[in-house]
Amino acid sequence: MAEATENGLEDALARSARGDTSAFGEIVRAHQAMVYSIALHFLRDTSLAEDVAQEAFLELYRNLAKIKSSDHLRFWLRRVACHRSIDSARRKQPDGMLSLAEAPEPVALSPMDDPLLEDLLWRLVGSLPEKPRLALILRYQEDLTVAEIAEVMEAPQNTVKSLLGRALETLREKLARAMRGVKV
Amino acid sequence: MKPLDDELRSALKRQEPPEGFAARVLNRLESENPEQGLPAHNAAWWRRPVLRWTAVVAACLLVVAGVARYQHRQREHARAEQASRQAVLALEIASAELRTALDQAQHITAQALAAPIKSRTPME
Repeated sequence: MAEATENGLEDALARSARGDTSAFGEIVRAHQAMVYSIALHFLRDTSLAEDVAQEAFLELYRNLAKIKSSDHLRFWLRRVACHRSIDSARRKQPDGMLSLAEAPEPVALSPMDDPLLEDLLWRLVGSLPEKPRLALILRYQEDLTVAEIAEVMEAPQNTVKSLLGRALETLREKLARAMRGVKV
Repeated sequence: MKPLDDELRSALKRQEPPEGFAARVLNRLESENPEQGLPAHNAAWWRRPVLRWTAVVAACLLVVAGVARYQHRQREHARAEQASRQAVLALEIASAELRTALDQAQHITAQALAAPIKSRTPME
């Protein structure tokens, strides 16, 4: 099944490169959740996320000739989604660079409140500085390994490991405070 | 409560964009490229092996035809130059022969004019 889908994507890729826009539509539908979610988790704004995702696909269309396979396509889209999300965040908030320690504290929360906890965690991740935020999104949304994240982010693997470690530590501390009902 | 990893996976799970996203992308594509003259397409034809080899063969044929035409013109030019040289030589030869003939004619005329005077003198 997965292989059939993969073959279908390879075929859609070849047809798109020959100018078949309906085939390009198939590619968009197959990857829209990935691209849109990277932008949404990074920007926490549905309208900006849609803009970024549309831009990423338009850029893909202009570069179809460079895409070699469906794996390359996924990698390329992830990388462009990350870069365009960063660009959009910088345009929106040019001085929005925070250190991990400066990330806002969550509101107090009841331990039983899992959906709220999820929402809180989502907002807390969104408030982290660019790089750890992106690393967490690629790790937990896309399930990428450290090596794959390093490739997408064009950073050394040790840097990515360190970003992930510090981000998780900060999230744990802030969540623990929220669970105790302590607001700093 | 779930471990943080699971909570993060759940909080950061993929979400579908609003309804009609793909159609909006395709609409933007059409509005931005009404003539479909896109670089991706232009480059894409080059990726097709048959067209690529056809283009290579056509380019080779053009080069060969160009070289053959150039050589042909060079040969014609050389032939014309040779003909021109031969014509000049022929004219020079003809001119030399005419000059010789004229000299001979003048010589004979001079001899003919001089002869009766000599023959008349002893008779007188």
